[in-house]
Amino acid sequence: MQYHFTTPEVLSQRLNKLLNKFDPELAKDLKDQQVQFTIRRKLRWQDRYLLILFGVILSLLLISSRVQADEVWGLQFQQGEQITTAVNLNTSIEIEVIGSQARVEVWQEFINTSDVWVEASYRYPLPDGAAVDQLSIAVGDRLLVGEIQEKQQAERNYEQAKQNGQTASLIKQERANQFVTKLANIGPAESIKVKIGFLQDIRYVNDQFRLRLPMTFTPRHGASPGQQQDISPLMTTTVSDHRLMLSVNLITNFELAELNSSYHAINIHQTFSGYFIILEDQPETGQPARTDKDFELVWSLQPQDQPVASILTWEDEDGFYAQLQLIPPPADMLDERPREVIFVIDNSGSMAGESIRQARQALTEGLTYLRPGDRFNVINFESAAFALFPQAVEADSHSLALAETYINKLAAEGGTNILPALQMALRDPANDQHIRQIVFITDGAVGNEDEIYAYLIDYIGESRIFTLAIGVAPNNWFMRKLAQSGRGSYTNIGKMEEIQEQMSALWQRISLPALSDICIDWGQAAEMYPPVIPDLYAGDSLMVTAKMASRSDEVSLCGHYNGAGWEYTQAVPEQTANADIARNWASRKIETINDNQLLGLPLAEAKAQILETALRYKLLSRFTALVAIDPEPARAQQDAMQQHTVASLLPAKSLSLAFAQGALGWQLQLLLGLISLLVSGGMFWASTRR
Amino acid sequence: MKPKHLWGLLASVGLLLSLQALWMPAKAELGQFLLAHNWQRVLQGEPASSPWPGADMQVVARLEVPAMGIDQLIVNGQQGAQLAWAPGMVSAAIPGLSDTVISAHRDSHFGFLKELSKGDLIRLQTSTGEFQYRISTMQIVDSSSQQLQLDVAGRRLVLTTCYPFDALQTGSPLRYMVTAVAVTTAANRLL
Repeated sequence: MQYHFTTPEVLSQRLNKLLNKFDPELAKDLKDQQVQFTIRRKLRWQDRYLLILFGVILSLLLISSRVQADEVWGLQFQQGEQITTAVNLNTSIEIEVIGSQARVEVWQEFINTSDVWVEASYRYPLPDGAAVDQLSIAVGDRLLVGEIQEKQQAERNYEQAKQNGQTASLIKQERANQFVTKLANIGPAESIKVKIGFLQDIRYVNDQFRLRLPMTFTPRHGASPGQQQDISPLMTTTVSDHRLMLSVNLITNFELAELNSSYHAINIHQTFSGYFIILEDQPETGQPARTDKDFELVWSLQPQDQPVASILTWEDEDGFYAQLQLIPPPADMLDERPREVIFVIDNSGSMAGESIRQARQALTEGLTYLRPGDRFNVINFESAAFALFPQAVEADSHSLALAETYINKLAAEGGTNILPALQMALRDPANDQHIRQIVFITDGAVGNEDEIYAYLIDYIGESRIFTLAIGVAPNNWFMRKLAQSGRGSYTNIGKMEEIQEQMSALWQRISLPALSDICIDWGQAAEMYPPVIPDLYAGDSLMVTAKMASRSDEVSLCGHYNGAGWEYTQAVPEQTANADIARNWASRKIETINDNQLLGLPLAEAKAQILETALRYKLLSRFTALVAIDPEPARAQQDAMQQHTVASLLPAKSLSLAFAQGALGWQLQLLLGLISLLVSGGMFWASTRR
Repeated sequence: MKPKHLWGLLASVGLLLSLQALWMPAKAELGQFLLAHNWQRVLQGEPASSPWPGADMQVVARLEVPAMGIDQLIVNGQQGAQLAWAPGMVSAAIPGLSDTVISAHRDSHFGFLKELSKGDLIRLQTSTGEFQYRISTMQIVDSSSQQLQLDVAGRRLVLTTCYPFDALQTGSPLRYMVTAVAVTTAANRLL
């Protein structure tokens, strides 16, 4: 007899055919049942249990591997290939909020609980866009202090130190999302104190200020009260548990409507310059909560029916610095002002593919933000420029439909020539009622920047320019410059997937102007950044920083608000903040010098100006770097000294040690392995039975 | 996915896991065996050397609990690389001159710690002599908030391992700590 390999389904079909010849009625009945039967047969109870078991085992394995891959922040000791995490004794975080920036100083203390000399590396997670510009490290009685130096000199000093066997850190302007530094020669039981400082931006979105700081670096360990009693006082002493201190000094002249921490309990104290916030201790531990959550502080202003300004100041031997922050009233207090939006899109060959597809979608979405009474036009450019309408038209259903069709037909081809497009966009005269916004979307390189820039300065008139640069093009600075001079904003879209999201955010942001044609009179000559003041939009905030010879009594502002002229005068307070006001001004100045160089300022001159400013205000820049050098050379023969030096170097009386790891965990692994084998056996059995 | 295709995958995963798991206790046994030769050399006063090429440890002592028939060779260092093969002694410790701390895994060498009781005799033999200790206390401590305090002029022997003993999971912050005090012997007085 011959055996054929058949599935139950095939078999039942054959039986059905056979039966059909004899008794069609019965065959039909059977067939219906068969369908049900096969559906039920697809997963039998054994299979389900097996699948569930398999899933459980897989997830167990995944969990155990994930735990090991957890990112470790703080100090880690390295001995050969062995890496251990240092015991973190104390962490103190001091944040000072000044306007739209916060200076964060993190101070952490660790102890070398091993009984040998070790090397260590320190890691700290940095928020987006932050760069460490202050660094000091104390190891035992040695002190490394970071210093801002001319870049080449810093690099030389760093190389020299390395050749001498000294530990050194060099921090350049390139930004990263973490701060890492290496440390050598840490003796047994020696403590290590690391202090870093960095500036962090505070986001102002939807009428709320938001300060967010990752807390993942604080040690986590399960508290186990009750164990302490078992310990003989002779043998172990309790090393002070890790203490976390966090304080925020919020310097503001604004009246706040709310001030909350999103995830932690806080205590708020009012000070003469604002508010002082500390993390509240939990009653049971006498310690702040050590959660895995980020620390997030959110505050908003008392809603006003007028734009409000806050001025923070600082004075040093060079002059007087002021930082002005302008906040609009909430959106519902604002009149909708008609706009004239000129969409300018680059459809050159380099936009081919995903870029043009996303840009088309985003542009179509941009059309939906137009309100009745608004005007618009669409200009596309490659080697030449083309306009949908001879000049801007009313946004009605007809013109919008035309525009949508036009946009959807845009194909990417040809070269990139910005000037004709800009000329076309600036050609229309602006009228008084409409605020004229030119939105410029491009990914291309430009060759004739100075020509374009000169044209813009001459013909910009009342138009505002918003630039969207897609990708990392070398002329992104130019896009930023165009927007700055055109009283608009610049957006860089680094990733193609973000084109739509970022453009939607822009449409939303520029749809409701709050305060336009802003002027600021400091009462004397002032070096102000940005030199051209952009408009203020609903939900947004505006920051201007200036340096002048001495304090003025007051500053006057003017502008166009809710269809009428707006004037505002505010007294200039005496020194209210800290040196970061001056540093903030200086970093804006450096940015401007950079731009000037790209627009024709000779390199040598730009370098001299930047160096002077950066060294004076201790800033990282293209020509400066932060370098920290350990005064003591590292030991080359670490292994040799481990054995011999340690005993003599033991502290006079006693030595604290961390407990060694106490288990291999092979039983659990074996159990998992055996279960897997068992289950696979069961599955094999189940599959052969079918 | 049909379960039919899964069983082979699961079987290989299970086999790998089991083999890797079994290698751990095997390593602990093998370590003692490999160290024995080295220990003889140490006793004969020869300079300490690596027991096998690439081993980051030397054998430094022999630990005995006569009542339980425990006889183990001890290496210096308490990192995972050492403890996988043998119990490890804190490098800074000098038996007879300072407190001595020896640690090992509860699921390999130091599983016997739970059987120890107060008054039990422990013998520690090093190249400089033989020291006897009697157990004074057994404690459970939380290693996340406490540390071992080593008296550099002390005379105690401390054995530590993970706690609880039969936990399947690793990574518990608890440690089982056995403290023994030195019994004066001729060898002790010599130092």
